[in-house]
Amino acid sequence: MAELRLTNVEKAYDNFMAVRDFNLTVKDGEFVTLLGPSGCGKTTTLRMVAGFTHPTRGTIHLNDRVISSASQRIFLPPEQRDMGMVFQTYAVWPHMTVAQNVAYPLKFKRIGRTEAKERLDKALSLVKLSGLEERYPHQLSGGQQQRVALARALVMEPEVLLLDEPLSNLDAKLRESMRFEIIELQRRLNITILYVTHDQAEAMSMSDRVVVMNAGDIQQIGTPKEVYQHPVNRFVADFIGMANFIPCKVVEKSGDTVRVLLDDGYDNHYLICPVSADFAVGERATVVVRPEHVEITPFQGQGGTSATVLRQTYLGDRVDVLVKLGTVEIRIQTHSTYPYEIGQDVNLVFDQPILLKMEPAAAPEAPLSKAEVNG
Amino acid sequence: MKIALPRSAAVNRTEDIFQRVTLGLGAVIFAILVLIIVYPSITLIRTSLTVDGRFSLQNFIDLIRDASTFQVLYNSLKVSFFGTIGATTIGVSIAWLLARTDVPFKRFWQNMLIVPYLIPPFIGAIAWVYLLGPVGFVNKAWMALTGSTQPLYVIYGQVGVILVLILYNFPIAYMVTLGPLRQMNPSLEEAARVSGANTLKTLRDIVIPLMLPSIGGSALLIFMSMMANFGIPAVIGFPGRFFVMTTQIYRTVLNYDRPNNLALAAALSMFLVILALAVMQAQRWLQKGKNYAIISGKSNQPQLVMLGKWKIVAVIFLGAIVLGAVIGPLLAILLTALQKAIGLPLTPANITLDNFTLLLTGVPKVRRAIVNSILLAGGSATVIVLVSLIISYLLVRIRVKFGQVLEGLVLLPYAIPGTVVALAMILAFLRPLPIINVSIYNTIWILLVAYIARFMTFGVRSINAAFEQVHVSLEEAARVSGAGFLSAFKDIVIPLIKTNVFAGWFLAFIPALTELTLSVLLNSVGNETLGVVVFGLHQEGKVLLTAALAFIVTMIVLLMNFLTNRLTRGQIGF
Repeated sequence: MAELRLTNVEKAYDNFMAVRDFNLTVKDGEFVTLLGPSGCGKTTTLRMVAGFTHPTRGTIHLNDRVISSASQRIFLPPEQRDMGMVFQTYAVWPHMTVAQNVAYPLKFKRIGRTEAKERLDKALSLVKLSGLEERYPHQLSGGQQQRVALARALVMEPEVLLLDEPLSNLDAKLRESMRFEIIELQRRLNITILYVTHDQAEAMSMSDRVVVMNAGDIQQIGTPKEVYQHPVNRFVADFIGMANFIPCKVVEKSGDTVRVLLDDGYDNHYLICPVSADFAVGERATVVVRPEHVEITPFQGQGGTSATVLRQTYLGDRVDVLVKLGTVEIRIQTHSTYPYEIGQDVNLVFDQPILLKMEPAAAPEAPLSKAEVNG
Repeated sequence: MKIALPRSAAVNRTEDIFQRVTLGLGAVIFAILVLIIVYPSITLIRTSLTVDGRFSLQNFIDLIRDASTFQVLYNSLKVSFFGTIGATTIGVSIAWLLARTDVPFKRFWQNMLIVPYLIPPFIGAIAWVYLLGPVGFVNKAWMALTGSTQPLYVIYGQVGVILVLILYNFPIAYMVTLGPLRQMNPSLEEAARVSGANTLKTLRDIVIPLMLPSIGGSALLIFMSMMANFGIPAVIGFPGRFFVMTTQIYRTVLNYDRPNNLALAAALSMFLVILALAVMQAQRWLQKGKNYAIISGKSNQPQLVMLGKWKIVAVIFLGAIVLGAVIGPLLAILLTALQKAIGLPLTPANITLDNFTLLLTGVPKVRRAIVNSILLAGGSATVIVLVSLIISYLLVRIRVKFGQVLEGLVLLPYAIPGTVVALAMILAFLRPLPIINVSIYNTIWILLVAYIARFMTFGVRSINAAFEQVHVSLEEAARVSGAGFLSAFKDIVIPLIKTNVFAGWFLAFIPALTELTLSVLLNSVGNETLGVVVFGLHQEGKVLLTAALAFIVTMIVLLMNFLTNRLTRGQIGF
């Protein structure tokens, strides 16, 4: 039973706020990921939970125990928090063997030699390192070092496991297989996990819930499906997956859908969007359409919206097409292999549109380009 | 590419000629190195094994039968052993405090703690005599305050030698370990913390074991530096009749009455040579074992250890070191230099600049020494840089087959104690050079030769680094842009290595300017150097003049260092 609760947590440095008013409860056995571009405050948050950084405001509870409280000036040192942690650089001690590395946390627990040995063996077999006990880190591959770090974090059977971009130093293939191994371990040990990454694919595939962060603020907390299907703002829509943003105006309301007029220069393209927030007729808004949710067909003259092909890129499993719809450009990903030509007229059908409130001019921009987000 | 074809033949010819010239110059330089390094080394060994012109082990047998041989060897090992422990402990502690804790005034400590490395050790020793000699400031203050007729502590003897050795060698450990401590991946420590280790246990289980190669390396350097030191045991040890290997060799060389004295000194030197070579080998071996590949990812700012209530202890510790190694000694020298007569109370009426005026106008030896030292240091630095340019080109660019030998040869005169180098020079150049029949012994030229041999390694190391930084592709890019071999060298290589060439010159010039160990054995009347004159004045008991000159010399050294630092934009010097 381990529940991690952060209440109004903040970290202010001399000249900027690294984390602002952070509230999150990680339930027992839950896998929660902090996701965001570099500098968004996700690692700072993790380090406040671990005890390496002192929050300037707010409280952190582990179950009913206060482990950090700025107002009461309680900052339990890391060694007293009973958490396991895996670092981005693995931090496997080069002067110790695999067994010495993994067994190190047991030195500080009052447990007998036989039990220590059992726990070591168990931790090593969990991460499939049995038999490599006497190896030194420099005799191991990157993936094996990663497993040593994981075993070391698990050996003391911590209540909470913290992972700080643990897969970012591995090559792509290994990264993917380690993802499944970590999920598998978590299900098996029913451990509470707080995970930090900037890789949305990692976050989406592993987490029960994702906390999307930007510039020190939580943007949205939700299941991977929620943040993808119902992003609350432009940043989340842009950071999770790819998105086309089309300005529009609400023209009609009926129940939980609204009809909008696209602001694309034609003045006759309408779209029905499901909404949860309140929109007024005449209000300006933004429609988000995912490239994979645009149906594209050669121009037939009937239905849909017509546009002109600007560019097409063959990606193997799909085709990326850029079209011009009046005054806006729209990116489309389709599995059809129809060979579009530049300048050709096409029909578009927008599926699963998302309607967002208009944001102030200085709306936060995702610092990652779409290509990177995609990769 | 077609356009380039007709030219390329000509270009290749220039390059070919240049390479041949370099190789030719290389051969000349190799011959010089043989003359000034190999030949003296062989002569030293041969002399130690010769009695009455025949091969004999008699010198060694005489030494072994002489109880004092073992006594001085034991003394040397003892002071170096305890000195190394002390200096390494202090140096590593300081490096840790400055790199990994929140101790205040870091900039100040960093600037101050480098100074003892720059002050010539024998001047530091003289300064400590002014503090803790029988009539030193500290002892006088003690007697005045307590009414005691006995001094608090007289520095002369082995404890004093160890103390001063520590104060002037700890910066080696500090400088060697500071970088690795700073660069150590902080996650390694954090991983220990989340595993349950507190700050002290993290230090014990993770930081110190990981630092062991650097700590061991610096300890070896310090140990050899202490074994080789001449100035400190000469200044502090002589009055207490406490002798170590270097001072014993010095006394044996100067003991003209003793038959066969040079051969005995040569035999005595062999102990130090063997030890120096062993230390060199150990160092190499240690470097090889340093295969901890620590992956460092994002450069997290290392988590600083919060000292809390220990902060005051740390500040007192650092303050004591700065006081003992920098402020105390410099103040003692300055106050002594400003006195009208020794022993007068320090009142404004007793303060004068007369000592400085007398020094520069009344003692011809001093003016001569200043000129000699500048000429010698400048001359040797210039020769070293020119020779190093060619050696480095051979080593780094052409990668000659005998590169390892060449590097070892250049390092040798610096790796073995200066006293031994001086003795080897005496033995090699005592008689006139063959063929040209000119003797450089008892002239300024033997000093020049000795300085060049001794400090060559600074030039080579500095310029090697430069050539290694300038990747060949930079030259090649100039070539494909149309520059010929010589133009590429002139336009690309020279501008890029300029700073290091300059630095190499200063790195040789500064220690040469205040050199004592070689000069004290190789100087002759009219050819004195600054180091020799300071040492001589001190031995003669001319306290005020010694202090005045020591002060000037120290200031020059600090100033030169500062200038070098500025001119190389902080790359070299402190």
